[in-house]
Amino acid sequence: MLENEQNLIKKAIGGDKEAFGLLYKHYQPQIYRFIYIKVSERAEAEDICHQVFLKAWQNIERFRYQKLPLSSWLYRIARNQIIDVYRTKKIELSLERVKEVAVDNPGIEKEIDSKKEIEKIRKALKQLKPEQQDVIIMRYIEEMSPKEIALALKKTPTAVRIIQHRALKGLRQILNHGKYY
Amino acid sequence: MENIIEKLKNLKKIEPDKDYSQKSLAFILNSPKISPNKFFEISLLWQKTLTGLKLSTNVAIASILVLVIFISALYFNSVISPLILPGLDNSKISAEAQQINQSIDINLNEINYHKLSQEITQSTLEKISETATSSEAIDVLPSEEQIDKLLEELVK
Repeated sequence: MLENEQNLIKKAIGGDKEAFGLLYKHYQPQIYRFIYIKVSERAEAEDICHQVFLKAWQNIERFRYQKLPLSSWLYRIARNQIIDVYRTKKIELSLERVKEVAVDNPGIEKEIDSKKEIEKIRKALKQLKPEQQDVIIMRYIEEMSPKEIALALKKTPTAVRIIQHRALKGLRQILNHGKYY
Repeated sequence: MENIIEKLKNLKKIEPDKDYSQKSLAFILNSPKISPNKFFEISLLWQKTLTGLKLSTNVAIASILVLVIFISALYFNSVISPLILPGLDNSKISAEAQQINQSIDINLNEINYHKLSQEITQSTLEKISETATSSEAIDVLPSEEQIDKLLEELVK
């Protein structure tokens, strides 16, 4: 959570662009990462991420009624945005396409020690159910608490833990045997 | 397991392009904000209030509702219940039946009376007819001359 976040949110609700800018800089990378892992295409991830923060800015006054952290609210918008995009465009990403995507991101690949390992884990992650993907990304990549994840996914923390357990089990099966039973 | 988690953490290295991020933010901040819909705000507030209610409050509301339904049922039962319709009221039906019973009794008494009087009349007539045939009876009856006499007196 960002320091002095509540104050920044209040200012942003009041129309303070600078305050919203600070919130954007703090949350945009993780929201972008979440979207990118799920859609596997940089341009698409950028478009969706832009839409998420545009909606957040335009509707931030409604956030005051949401009894949840800003991060959970942003993840909710992101999930809905991804669902909308998939619903309208009916995007079907094949594993071959995922491979292409990896090659399509030289900027990222330079910074990663083992390209193959990253590619392998991302492909494995893509084979999980969308809900399991969400939990794994939020819990292990973004290091969110089960409570925060629960609020973002509209579930109980216990349900999140169960999904997390199954997702990890599934991920292990995929990585070891190439299949999710 | 830890190996998998470590591998997952590597994905954190994915970052958005800085140029894209700056442009996107600039565009967002220059876009007009949507004024919140009052109706939406009220409905959202109401929704939040409802979801924010504790279990005890929910139970209390449910109890009040049950009580209201029970009282309403009692009221409607007393006003429009089929049990209070005259045709289905036991006390009224028994009173009516008693009344009919009484009228039947009266009729039976009358029949008995008529029957008795008829019997008496018949027996009397029989006695008269028996006596009429005897000579005593002929003596008792007025003669033709006596009748004429009486008629003349009446004409005077």
